[in-house]
Amino acid sequence: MLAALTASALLLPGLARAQEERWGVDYGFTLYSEDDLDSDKLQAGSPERYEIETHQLRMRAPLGGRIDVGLDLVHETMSGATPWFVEPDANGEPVQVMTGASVEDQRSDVLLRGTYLFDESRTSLLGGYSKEDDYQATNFGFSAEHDFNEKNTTFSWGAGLSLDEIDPTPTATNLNPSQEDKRSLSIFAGISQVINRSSIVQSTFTYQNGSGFLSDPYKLVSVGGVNLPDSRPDSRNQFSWLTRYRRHFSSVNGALHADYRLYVDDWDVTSHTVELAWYQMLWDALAVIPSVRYYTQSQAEFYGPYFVTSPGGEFTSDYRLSPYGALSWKLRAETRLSDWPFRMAWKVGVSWERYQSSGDLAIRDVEIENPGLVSFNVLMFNLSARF
Amino acid sequence: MPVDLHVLRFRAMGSPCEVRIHGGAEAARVAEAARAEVLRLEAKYSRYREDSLATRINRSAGDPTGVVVDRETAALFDYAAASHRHSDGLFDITSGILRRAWDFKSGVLPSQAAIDALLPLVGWNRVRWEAPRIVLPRAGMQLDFGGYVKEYAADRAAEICREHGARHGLVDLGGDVAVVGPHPDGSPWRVGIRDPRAPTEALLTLPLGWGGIASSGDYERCMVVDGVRYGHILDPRTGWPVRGLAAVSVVADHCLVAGTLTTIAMLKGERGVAWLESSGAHCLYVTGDGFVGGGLLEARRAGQSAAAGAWLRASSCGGSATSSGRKPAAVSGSLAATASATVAKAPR
Repeated sequence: MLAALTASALLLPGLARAQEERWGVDYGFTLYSEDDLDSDKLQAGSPERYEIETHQLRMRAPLGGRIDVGLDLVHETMSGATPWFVEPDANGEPVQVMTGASVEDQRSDVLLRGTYLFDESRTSLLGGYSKEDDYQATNFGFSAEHDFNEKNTTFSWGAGLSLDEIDPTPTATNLNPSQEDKRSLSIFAGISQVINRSSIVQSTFTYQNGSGFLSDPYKLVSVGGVNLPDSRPDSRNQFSWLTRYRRHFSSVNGALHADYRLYVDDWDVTSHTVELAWYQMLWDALAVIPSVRYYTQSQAEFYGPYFVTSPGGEFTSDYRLSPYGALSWKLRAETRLSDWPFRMAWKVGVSWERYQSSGDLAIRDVEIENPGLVSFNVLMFNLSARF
Repeated sequence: MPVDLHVLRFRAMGSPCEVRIHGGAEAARVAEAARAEVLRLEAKYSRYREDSLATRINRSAGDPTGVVVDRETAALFDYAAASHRHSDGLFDITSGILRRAWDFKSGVLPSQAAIDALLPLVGWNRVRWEAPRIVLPRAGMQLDFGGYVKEYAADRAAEICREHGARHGLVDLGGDVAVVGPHPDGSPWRVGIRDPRAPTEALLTLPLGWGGIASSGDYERCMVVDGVRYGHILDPRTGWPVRGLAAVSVVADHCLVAGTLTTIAMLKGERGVAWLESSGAHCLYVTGDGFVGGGLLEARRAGQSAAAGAWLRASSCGGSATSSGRKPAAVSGSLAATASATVAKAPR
């Protein structure tokens, strides 16, 4: 009743913005932890894979009635060993060689965003900078949204540019690595349509072009028994098409979220992602959200677990470019505290996700599974305040 | 009280009004802009003004071509239609004409025949509303924006203040309050709620840092005939006063929505309490026999400490109504202390 009347009131001129003009601070902590590598897949190095702790702080402030500014800060600490190269064991089965000592790295990221709110459209400009020991990235972006059809249709589009510099730290096999550059440009366009009172569909197309040094400076490839540096083409064109459907079921006070993403690129990788989530509201203040995601991809044309003879100038044995499938489950709970008498609302959320990938999960048969395929857990806690 | 608080008092929509804005010289200009907005809406929607849009629409009653209205008015009709639908026909902007039968100053009950003669002119379902055209098919039908335009004006005036850069202030149109923003130190405004049995006194004061509050009660206009009290809240279906709640206050994101909820709750009569409890609104009510209840009682207690208030769980009528319901005698004991803190009394 309250919600129905508020929804009607928001259609009145000048009342719509009352809700949005609020300050917001969000803090999130994420612990990403990869499973140790199975001993039968480990040839050498440490079985302890990556662990990443992420602290994220987002702030949003309205300036006057029309301008919104936001600042995102991220700090990550990464540690653990990473897959180095794959080689055949005595039986010709591929086994993983990991980096030895634990790598320790930190990444800091700052992103500033400004949005101007027109009556029926919004335009944002953003700029960001990210820094690691061996990597820095500067990025810029522009995006806009336009409402049509009494706000039942929203068209959005935008573009982004990232300029990255890679300054690899010396390794045992590469004592004097050269500094490399990488540039990526992306553009997207999408439309979201309110179908009826309880459902909405959104479809977005994204094109991304990467150029420059796209190889992994810390990975080697076993070619005819010799370990050569990972070597990939110097350009990549990626296309993705994401469609999302949301439907609210008022009889049970829950909502279904269903997403499908198709991805293809000119490295010959095609992938499909399907995600289903159910938002269940309990007592108006608690939401419980179980979700499941399935992913499958084909391999890049220059990928092989290892090469007996030289395939030419381009080769990689990175598990991320191998054929595989993945399944993940996630459970999230969110609760809202307090909204009165102050215009302040707190939201607390926790979630746990389990991700597993393997050759068997791929939609097509995988002859030789990459031994470096990863499985991980993600724990997340976040706290947000609006006032 | 901070020295930079600017207070503008004026009369509009038949009520004493106040705009309170924190800020220097700018505050006076902001308050004036808010007043101008209230006066604009009064001029447009008052049925007492010869040149108002409301009068023009009412004069068109019986004319099958009706009147074509602007976007704002269309949105107000859409809102009235939604409220009518969600209240099973209780919220009805055509019901004002029933007041012709009811003269509360006379102390005399109208004849049933007089009421029956008016009932065919009442009913939003009899109106043809096909945006942007409104048609009152029967001569004599009338629309009365008075049931919600004051609340809408409070929201609009507060929004005008925000558009002019004000962040801390409050608009009070005869007890319909819309908050621009809390005091500069973040503390909420204290809004007095009148006691329906002693209209010059505050029943209690509520901390309000956002949104709006609206109140409705049968203390405003009523008459007592043969020992029976007849309030001014008339059921559009029967034409007779509703008996049940003595007063209701609701806090919501918008004063408009709060006002609609109080109107519907009053019209629900005896069932108003149960309905409020299920509506999910922050409310306070006084029943006909003097029982005070509603989640806002709980909230007020917690709100007295800013820290406790900030962490207060969103208090709805559900559940807490029974636990916090108390006889008014118990409430009035604590009244003296809180009433003195009132800066924005509901002056209805």
